[in-house]
Amino acid sequence: MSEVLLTFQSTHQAIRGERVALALGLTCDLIPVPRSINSECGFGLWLESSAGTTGFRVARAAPWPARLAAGLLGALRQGGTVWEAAYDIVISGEGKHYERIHDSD
Amino acid sequence: MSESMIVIEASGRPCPEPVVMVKQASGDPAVQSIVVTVDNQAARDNILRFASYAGWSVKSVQADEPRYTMTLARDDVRTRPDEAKGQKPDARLEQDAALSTKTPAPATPAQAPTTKANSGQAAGCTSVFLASDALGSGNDELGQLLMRGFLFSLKELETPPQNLILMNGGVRLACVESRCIDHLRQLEAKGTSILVCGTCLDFFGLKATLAIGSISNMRELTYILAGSAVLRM
Repeated sequence: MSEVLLTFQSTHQAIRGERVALALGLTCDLIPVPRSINSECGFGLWLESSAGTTGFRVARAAPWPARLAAGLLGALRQGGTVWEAAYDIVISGEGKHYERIHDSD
Repeated sequence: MSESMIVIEASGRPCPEPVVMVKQASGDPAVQSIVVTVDNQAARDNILRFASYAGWSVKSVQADEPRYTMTLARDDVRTRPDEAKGQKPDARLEQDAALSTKTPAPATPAQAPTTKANSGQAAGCTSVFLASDALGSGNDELGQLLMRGFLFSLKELETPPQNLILMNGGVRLACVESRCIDHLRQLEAKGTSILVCGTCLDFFGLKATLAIGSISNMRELTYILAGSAVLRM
C-alpha cells in the first residue's frame, strides 16, 4: 500500500478530479496541499494505491503505482480534468515527505 | 448512608435535567457524595463528563439497563487550576487567545479527566466550535471542501484542541454520510473530545446516524465553552 498526492491547477479541477476518482471506486480525499509543494491550488487529491485498482490500461511506465496512474489518469484525461503533478508520499520517522514523481502530460 | 450523601432519582427526566440536578447538588459544599440514577446512556455520559471536570470522582457505575446508578464523591484534594494560579477564568481566556501548538505539561492525576470529555476548566483548555458543516459562506461546495481541509489540518497539529464541539449543521460532520469521519476519528485518537449537540441531531433526524463523538447538551457545552479558549469557524 502506498499513498500518492495529485495536484491540480485550480480548485474546480481538484473537485472534478475527486469525482472521477470516486467514480472509479478509489480510496481518496481532497486534502490541503503542503506549502512546500507550492501548488497554485490549495487542495490536492490524496489517493491510496492498492491492488484493487486494476483493470485499467497502463498509460506509461512510471515509478509510482502504474495501474492506478493508468486508470485514474486515463479517466481524468477523458473527462478533460487538468492535473498538475503527482507526488509519492513518503512517511518516515521525520514525518511526511513529498517526492515529485510524475508531471502532467 | 452518611449525612453528606444525597440520592437523586433522575429516571424519566428529560435531558439535560439529570446532569443539572447533579450539578445543583454538587454546589452544596456539605454534600460529599452523590448517588444518582438515570434511565439512558446519554444522561449517564453527561453526568460522568460533568464529574470529570467538576472535581468529583466516579466511585462506581452500576448498570441495570436501561438504568444506571452512579456514585460520585467530591475530591477534596483536587484544586481547580484557576484557584491554584489565583486567576479568574476570564483572565486565563485572554491569555489563551489562540490554539497552542506547544506540547502541554503532562496532566496530574487530579487534572486528568476520567471520561472522554475534557474539562472546560482545565488550564489552557482549547475548544473548536463548528456550527456548520461548511466553512464560511459564499458557496456550499467550497465551504464543505474547506471544512474537510480544516479538519484534516486540525488533526495534523501536534497538539490538537481538547474539545471539538459540533452544533446546528455542524453535527452532520459526525454522521455516517460525512466525508470527515476519518479526520474526526484521528482527532479523537489524539485525545480530542468530540461533543455533538443532541438537540441538533434530533432536529435533523440524525441521531441514529451518529458515527463518532458523544451526545451532549447546551448546558454542558456552554460550561465547556465558557472555560475554554474557543476557536469558532
